Amino acid sequence: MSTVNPARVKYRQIELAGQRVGLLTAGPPEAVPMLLLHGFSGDALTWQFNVGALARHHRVTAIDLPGHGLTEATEQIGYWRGMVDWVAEIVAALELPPAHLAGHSLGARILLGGLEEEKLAGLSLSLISCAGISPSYDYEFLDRLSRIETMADAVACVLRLLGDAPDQPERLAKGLFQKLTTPAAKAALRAYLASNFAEGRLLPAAPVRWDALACPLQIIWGADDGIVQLPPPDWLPAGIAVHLLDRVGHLPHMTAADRVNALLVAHAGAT
Amino acid sequence: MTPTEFYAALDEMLELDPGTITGNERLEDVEAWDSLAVISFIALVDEKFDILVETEKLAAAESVGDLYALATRQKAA
Repeated sequence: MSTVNPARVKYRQIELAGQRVGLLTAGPPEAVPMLLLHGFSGDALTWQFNVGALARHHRVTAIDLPGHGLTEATEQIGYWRGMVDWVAEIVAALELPPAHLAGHSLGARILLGGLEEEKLAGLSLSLISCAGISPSYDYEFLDRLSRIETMADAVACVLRLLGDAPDQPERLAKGLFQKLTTPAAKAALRAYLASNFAEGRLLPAAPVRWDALACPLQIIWGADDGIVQLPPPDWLPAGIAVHLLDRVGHLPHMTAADRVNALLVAHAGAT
Repeated sequence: MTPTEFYAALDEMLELDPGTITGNERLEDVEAWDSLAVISFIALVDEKFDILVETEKLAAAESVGDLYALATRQKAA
């Protein structure tokens, strides 16, 4: 039975903790919460193919990171651990109870960091194409993403992101072009790259404290992800579920949304 | 739900004047068809038909007619 009321799907900018923050919410307010965090250069609408399915089971909240979507840039847009603190502050301001957590790319690393540092409480964690935990990533692509000038640039980035020839790259490219070519967006992306990379290499960070996670973990990855490759087994904790999706690139939650939605719902339901 | 009723629901969902959507439109020509509209459409179909749209087929939809076929074909199935 559907519990999704279209009128309750809201994406708006609100004042939180003295800042203007973009927030997307859906699903019954009384349902178990699920928090979604997008990746570098994205926004809450990256979850467009996921919100409906997830809202059947959960109260879904998706936050725009600083300098992305409807959230204004802050001085914390920089080193990713600063964004962990920012997310924790926003979650506290929203008075969100412990939620099922799901993040994509940078958003995944932030959620993982929040649990490592015990600044976030999670009922479960799903990492989708998680940034910062793999030795293999394409910095040049991230740099190109921050320098999009034309629709041709945007289409090229979309094709690289999707990892397989999509039917209609133009629609996604149009959205990318509109969002990432504003001066504010470019400044935010450049600030993030400057704070997290040196000469194209991710700044060294302490090893992931997988043992600090107090909730079930699953990892979802596209087998054809050319942006961030799945870490080798010895980089991941033993015994966790790793779902490698065939013919899927860096955006599994968009290009294989039905499969990812099923995995997210099942993982949350198993706790 | 008849096509007319479906198009009226789309008008309301997209905050367009009643009668704007006629069923002949290509989605790329509907300015209001954006990521938020995708979310709202999935929720609309779920509420009206109690089904979840197959997202890969939705991503491939090119016209308003495709949207109606997507919602009603899945219901028929």
